[in-house]
This record gives sequence, structure tokens and C-alpha cells, in this order.
Amino acid sequence: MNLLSQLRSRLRRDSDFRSESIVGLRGWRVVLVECKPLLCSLTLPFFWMGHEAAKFRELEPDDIFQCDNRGFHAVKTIDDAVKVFKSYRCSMMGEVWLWGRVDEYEYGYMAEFAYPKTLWPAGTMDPLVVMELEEYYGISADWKSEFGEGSRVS
Amino acid sequence: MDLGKKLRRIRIQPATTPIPKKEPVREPVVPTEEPVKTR
Repeated sequence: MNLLSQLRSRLRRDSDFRSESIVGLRGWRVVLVECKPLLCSLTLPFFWMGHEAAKFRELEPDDIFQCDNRGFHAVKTIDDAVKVFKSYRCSMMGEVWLWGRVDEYEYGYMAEFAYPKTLWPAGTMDPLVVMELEEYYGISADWKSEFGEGSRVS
Repeated sequence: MDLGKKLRRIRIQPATTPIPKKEPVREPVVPTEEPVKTR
């Protein structure tokens, strides 16, 4: 066995390789930046940009926002998403695409790259802000009873 | 956010990007007809 095949078999043993992104569930805060609503991470001042992958960056040693952060968090089940929604008082929940280096945990994932897939607004969200977010991120929103029905716009 | 015990590391290189394409910006329609002159 040559060195290359040894490396390949070691990598296969250590991690799985896939060509399909994983879908997780997560929450955001909705923050107005220059009158434009943006999704913001719950524990860090990280803004998610439209049509750009959110890329995880290592925290600098002198970063003032020190926390246990090893990637973009997402949970696996709607029950855990409801727990996140309540404990972090999220204004937006939703599905999120995860790819790159993804660590799988019992109840969720931590990923290197992420992009929102579907938005589930909290019932208190202004429908016009939700429509702006849909347009900016190029994805659709759906009101779910788990997060409050909210006002529907037809 | 407690995610529990770490199970494994997965490396994902998606065949197609999950990021939606931007809608092309529509150019404003310029009227081609001469405006009707009024007295």
C-alpha cells in the first residue's frame, strides 16, 4: 500500500465524505443595519449576508466575544429548535444548509459553512420585514405554529 | 447550546451550491414611442 492510499484509508476512517449538504435547524436575531433587516447569530455579532456562505472564522486571542464557538450551530429536531427558540428568545428560526467541515453531535451539528434554507419567523415578526428577508436571502418563509402563527400576508 | 456528545466529523463538498442565485437586475423599460404632443 503506497502512502497516498494509506492516507486515503486513514481519512475515510476518521471522517465521512459526502457531496450533499446537511440540513439543520437554528435560530437568529433579526437586526436592522442601516434600516435593512439582517439575520444575526444568537451569541456573536455575526451578520449573515445574502447570497454569500456564512464562513466560520476562528476567534482571535484578543477577541472580546470569547465563547465556546467551533462553527455554525444547528440542532436536529423541531423539539430542540423550540427549546432554542424559547431560551434565546429568537426572532427567527429556520432550516439551514451546512457543509464543509461538519462535526455531528448527539443533538446537532457545528459546521464550517452555512446558508439559510427556509425561514420560520416568530409570531411577533412584522410580515413586511419577513418579506424583505425573503427577498434579500433569496429563500422563502413559512409561519409555523411552534413559533407563533404571526400575521399572514396573502 | 449543549449539543451533547460529539459523534463524528463529516466532510461535505456539495456538488451544487445551496446558495440561491441572485435574480438578474431588471433594466428600466425606456419608452420607444414618441410622446404625444399636446397643445
